Amino acid sequence: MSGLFTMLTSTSRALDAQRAGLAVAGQNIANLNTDGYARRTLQLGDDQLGSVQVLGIQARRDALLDARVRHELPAEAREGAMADALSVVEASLGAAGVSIDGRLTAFFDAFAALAADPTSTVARDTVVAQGKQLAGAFADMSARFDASQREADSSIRGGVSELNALAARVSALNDAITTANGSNVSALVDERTLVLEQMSGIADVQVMSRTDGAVDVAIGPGQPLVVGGRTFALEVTDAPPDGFAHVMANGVDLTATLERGRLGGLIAVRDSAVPGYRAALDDLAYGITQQVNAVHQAGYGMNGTTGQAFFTPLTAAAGAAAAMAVDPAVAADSARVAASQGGTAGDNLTARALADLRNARGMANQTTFAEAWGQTVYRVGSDAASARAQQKSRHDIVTQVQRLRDQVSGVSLDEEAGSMLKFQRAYEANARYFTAVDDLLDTLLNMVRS
Amino acid sequence: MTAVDATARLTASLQAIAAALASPDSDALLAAEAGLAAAIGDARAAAAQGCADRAALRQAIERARAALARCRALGHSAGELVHDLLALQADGHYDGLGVIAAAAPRGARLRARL
Repeated sequence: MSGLFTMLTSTSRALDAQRAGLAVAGQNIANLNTDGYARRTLQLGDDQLGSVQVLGIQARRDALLDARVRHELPAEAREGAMADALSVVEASLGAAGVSIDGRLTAFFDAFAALAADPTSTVARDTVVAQGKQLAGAFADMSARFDASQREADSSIRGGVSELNALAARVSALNDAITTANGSNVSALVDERTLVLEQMSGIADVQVMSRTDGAVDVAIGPGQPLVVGGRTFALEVTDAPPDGFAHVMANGVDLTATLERGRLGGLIAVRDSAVPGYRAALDDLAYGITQQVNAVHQAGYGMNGTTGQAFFTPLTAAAGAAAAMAVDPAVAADSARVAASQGGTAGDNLTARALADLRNARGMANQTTFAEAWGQTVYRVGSDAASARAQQKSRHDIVTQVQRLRDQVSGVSLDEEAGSMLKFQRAYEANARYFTAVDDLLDTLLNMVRS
Repeated sequence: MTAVDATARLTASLQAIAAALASPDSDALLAAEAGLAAAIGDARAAAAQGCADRAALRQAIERARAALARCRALGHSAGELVHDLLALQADGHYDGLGVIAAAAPRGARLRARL
């Protein structure tokens, strides 16, 4: 009787194990497309009756591959944020011929028309109007750069709030995992993995696993963000002189250390890229103001005035684009526009000299005003294109690592190692040709050059 | 085959390798090797004949260089991953489920190197 009972119990446990196995397989299939889901496997063991029993269900999560994904995500997110922000800056520069380059052409054309008829009031009024348009275009462009910086700043503030919310979620999940008292925590670990990946997209965070199943998260130079069940929220302070957000952790300014992730990209755009473009714009506005004024002040207006600046004089290049304006006295009376070099009626030498400034190589690197503007446009376009290309390349790598993780997670160590070695050998088989390809492309390039 | 066509074929071979690396698909990667070897042979032969359309060839070369750079970036990433995974397994620190203490310093080293 005892033998029959044992046999029935043993069979029942075996059936339970089979049923549990089917349930796990069903769960794996149902969650095939769930972000962050790690495949479950059934842990079986011998029981005292010589049959199998279910020991538990374990998520096959590969910590190294998870860490590698988190390592690659910030680089992709940084380039993505930069590409998005710089594309907006690029669009704000306007199309060729209708932006500052078009205003420059119209401005110098107006002086050429004045040279053709130096006593014409209409020609003088046109010069003043085109001067205002040119100054307005610089101020408008400077305001667009301001807007780009403010937009990046606003996104940085939003990113910090998002990061704090995610950090709070990780600490809550840590609490839930460490107090689970042996119940299955795979779903919680899945969610935490996903949250950690979202955090890595915002900033380059370091994740350290603890023996109790919790993780600690640090940011920048080791500043704690999550320690077990505690969150150390980042703060944002408005830093002078522009009031832009600085990211603080426990009183330490992390802004300069946040190089990767979306925050890193936005900080680079706000504090490095756009200020660089603005400096080039200011240099151009300052150069035009100085050179036009130098020639104009040496000439005579129709009313005999001399020493008159055409643009309001500027003391420094910084802020020149925003401050550029036609001198109020000239704006009020176009007779003060200097066309004559000697003060005699019909003398057009100053107007001609001013018109000829369009071809003067008075900017840095011996460039004309139009060429200097072209260089700024090229620089913005090149930076945006480079960020887009980098983002694509980084995205490739993130996808590759994520897929590798999905492929190897859940197989045996031997299979995993075998699969990885096969992949590495397959790459090496191709990579040995790469030097030959390099040499061949050099040869072909020489054919193009010769 | 003209130099432009041969360079385009070389680019296609490199793109196939990049796609296999990104998938990642070992079988496709192995299968791509023969295509690359053949494309190199064609391009060498075409280079010896010269080229009339220099602008088109220049563009084709740029595309090939971009594809080669993509292969190298993906190969580098996969190579590092494989190397570290196997090294951890060989050290006995790796159980496939949780590389706890061992992964953290290696992660820091990876960050420093990249």
